[in-house]
Amino acid sequence: MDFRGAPGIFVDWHDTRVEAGFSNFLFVDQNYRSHPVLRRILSLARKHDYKSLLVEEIREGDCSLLAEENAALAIRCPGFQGGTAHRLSFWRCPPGAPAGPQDFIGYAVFKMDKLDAHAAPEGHVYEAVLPPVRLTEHNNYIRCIRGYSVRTDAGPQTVSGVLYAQQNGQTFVCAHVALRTALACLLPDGDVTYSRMNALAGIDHVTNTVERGLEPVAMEAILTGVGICFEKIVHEPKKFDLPTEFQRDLYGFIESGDPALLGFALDDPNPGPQGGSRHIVPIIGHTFNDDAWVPDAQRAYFDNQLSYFSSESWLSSYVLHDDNFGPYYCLPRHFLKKDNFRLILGMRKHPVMVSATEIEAVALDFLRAVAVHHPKLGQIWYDRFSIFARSGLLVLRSLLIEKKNYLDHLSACRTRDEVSVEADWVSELEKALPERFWMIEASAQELFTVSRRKFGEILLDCSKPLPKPLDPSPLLAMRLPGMLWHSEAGQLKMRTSAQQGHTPIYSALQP
Amino acid sequence: MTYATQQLTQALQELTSNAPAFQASRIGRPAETVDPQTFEFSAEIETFLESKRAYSERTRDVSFGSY
Repeated sequence: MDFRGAPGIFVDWHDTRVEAGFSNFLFVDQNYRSHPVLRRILSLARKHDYKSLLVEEIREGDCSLLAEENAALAIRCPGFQGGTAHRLSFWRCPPGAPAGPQDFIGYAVFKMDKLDAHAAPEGHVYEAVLPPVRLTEHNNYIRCIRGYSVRTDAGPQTVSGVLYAQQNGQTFVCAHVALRTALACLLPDGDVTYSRMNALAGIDHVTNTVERGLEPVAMEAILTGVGICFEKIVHEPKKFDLPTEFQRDLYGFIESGDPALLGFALDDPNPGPQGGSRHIVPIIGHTFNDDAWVPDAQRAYFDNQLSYFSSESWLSSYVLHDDNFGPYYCLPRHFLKKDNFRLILGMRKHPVMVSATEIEAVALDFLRAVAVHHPKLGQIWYDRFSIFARSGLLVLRSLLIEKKNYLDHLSACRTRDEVSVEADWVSELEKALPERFWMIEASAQELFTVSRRKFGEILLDCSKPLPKPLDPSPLLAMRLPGMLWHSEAGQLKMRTSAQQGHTPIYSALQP
Repeated sequence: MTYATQQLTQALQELTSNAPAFQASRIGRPAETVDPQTFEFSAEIETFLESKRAYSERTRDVSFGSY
């Protein structure tokens, strides 16, 4: 039984309206030892316009997960006196009022551990799920959201969000909680326990502890053990110097809807023999700025030799949970420099043999070749595509996509004058496409950033390594204004299409 | 205005002044087989892919630091 499903013992139901005199600061100061992360969580509840806060105590006898956590602490800390937990839930209705369908906002579990008889209890937010405050309409793209059922004294409720968790520093550390957030996005159960992670990493709290943290090899063992695929990007200055920009790789994971862990070195003036301190956080989404100056300026003023714009250029901030500070923070794109960057563990639901950065480069070559061989079709949007491609000014956006999602997108795609793609071509793709593949959307600056539309897309195989030397075999299909391509029995076929305008870019639906 | 933008502007202006004649006869024609030689991949891309592959291979089994 986890904390979401355990019955709670009613403690109190507070009226949290400002006009009722409730203060988040005072509440946390008086009840939770001025805990800063809990204050952050209450401030998010305030942004969601919460009007009441229900406090329930969770007891060991009702929650096997609590008993398991306390047992692990008893092994790790011989003087451990016990741990208690409160489940705090946030509501838009007044205290005790019948809750409407939109009244439940979310919950947090706060755990207090007395590690020895003489020390003050140590508190941490064991877990919390709240919806993000900013959504797509605010240019925030958080793709790892999922739903959770929560039992409360006021009846069962549901919340959608990205699970946040904080380390206790004894039996689980920042790597555990970052993994927990990421795995919660991917695993069918929507969560994973620390005891399972520790078992997979060989941590027994006696001979192997997490006193110094978790090594990447242990994180990889956990990911492999739970059956999640991952790609690793390493940067260790003077030993393994990453030849490319890590932000492009990071974006390649989250734009496809998969979480990634971002590890970095702290500025440490006195690093020990094992090196300086490090921290790792889960990246769960990004913000988008359609007025970004950087894409143009980077090329015009700073001698960037790119021959296309990656859609990542308009990314403004990464959205992350930081267990030290709380959920849903924004990390500005260029704040974390390569000097500090150390590790990305980018997760995938399925194995992928080609990375987003590699496939984007290949797609660019395909698109340029088409434009060179077919510079004009005699219709305006194809000819514009061709000009942008030959000028090195396309905008490319790479997404790993499931066949069903692509076919749904394709069937719904209309030009401004409501022309859809030919139904028989969709049927051909339905028979020919693999279950998942890379889709690289091709657009132009204002078309992409403001209208959120594109010339078309190219579909490339993700299941095999790229051929050496490169050949057309990875190409599955391509749709451009007035032109359709697909691969059939090892041959590429091209035909014309009545769909001759631009169409909307792909948008993953948020639950 | 950068060189690339100047080229783009000029090409778009030419496209607009020579309003393309829509070739309706092209629609509905059977699919043509494409000569694979249509695609010539640039040495620059091959070099980029090779450097990504080599770095990934070199760092596959390394594990530095603790988090």
